[in-house]
Amino acid sequence: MPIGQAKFGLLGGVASLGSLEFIEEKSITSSTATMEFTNIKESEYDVHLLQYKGFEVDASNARPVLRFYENGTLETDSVYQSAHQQMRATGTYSQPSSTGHSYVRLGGGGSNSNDPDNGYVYIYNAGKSNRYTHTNEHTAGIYFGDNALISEFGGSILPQKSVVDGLQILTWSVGNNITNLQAKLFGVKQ
Amino acid sequence: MSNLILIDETTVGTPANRINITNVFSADYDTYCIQVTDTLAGTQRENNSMDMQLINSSDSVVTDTTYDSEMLFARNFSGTYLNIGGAGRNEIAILYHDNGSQNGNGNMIMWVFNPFQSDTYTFQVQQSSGRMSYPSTTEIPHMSKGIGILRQQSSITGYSFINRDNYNINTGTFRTYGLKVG
Repeated sequence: MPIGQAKFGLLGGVASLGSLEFIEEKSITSSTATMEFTNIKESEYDVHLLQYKGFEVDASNARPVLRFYENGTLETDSVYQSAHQQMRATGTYSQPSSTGHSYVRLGGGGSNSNDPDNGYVYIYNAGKSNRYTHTNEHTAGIYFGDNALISEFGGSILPQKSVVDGLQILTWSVGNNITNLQAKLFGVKQ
Repeated sequence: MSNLILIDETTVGTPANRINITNVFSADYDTYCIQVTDTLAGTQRENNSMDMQLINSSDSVVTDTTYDSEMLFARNFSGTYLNIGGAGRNEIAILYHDNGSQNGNGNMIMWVFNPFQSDTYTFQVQQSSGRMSYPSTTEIPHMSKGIGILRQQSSITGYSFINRDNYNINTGTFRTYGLKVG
């Protein structure tokens, strides 16, 4: 057999422990610029799951975005790439994409307390120094312009071979602060 | 309480055209999460990809055209997205990638519903993110979100990935989890 196959639980007789392992939870309840995850245990997991809810900003026309730390240094250059499908309850569909973002695009809501954004992000290969870091995200929130449901899904990439060892959630609108956000980071057991 | 329970972890050791993941679906769970990470093809190709097919209780790969699948596919992040799929196909999902010199990585999260239950069809929803070549040797990112179904009321026990054009799958990790509830 040209593969290394290991069975757990069902056939191998190994105790069936949970595989979605909680790493860290963060909360913002008053005006703060960013949320930081600096101990993501990137050497232990090749798939991370980041869940967030209640993202709100002290500004209109805001949205949540994500940046990566590479060996402790935050990547803020316009090197991220994203392709999303956006769906709005008003019947509007669009496909925002970019090869020169300074962040990983997340959702389309989150402008203020009436327009929160919520979602999840899978992060692949963060700890592999010889691989790019990829993501898949899916979000649901309220769009500030019409107070109607907005959802996005898509994929993003940091096309740099580096060890991603931290995450930062912030708002797309420069100079504004997050006023509410709860987020949990999980590793998927190998 | 619920959680993902790791059932199987398969890592490509020796490159092969087809990777079979057997005996992972059973009566123990009705919902599964498949996580595919870090796949690389052995040979460079424009639009290089792996087709996913299912394995029945006789350990045979279902290769006939009884699948329907559809996905929204962003091939490159600066152009119009594509709709790939249709009825009567011979794969339940497609994952694009390419070889290492092209940084042609494939990564995917898939949820599979009722594969083992013999009186229902098998459904999947998936999301992928990676890197491929198009056109020719131009490196580009890709992402997809899609659905698939096997229109057979049969008991499915595993799944298989086969690279197009008889090229090898050189690397990749395939993990299968059951969703435990209660």
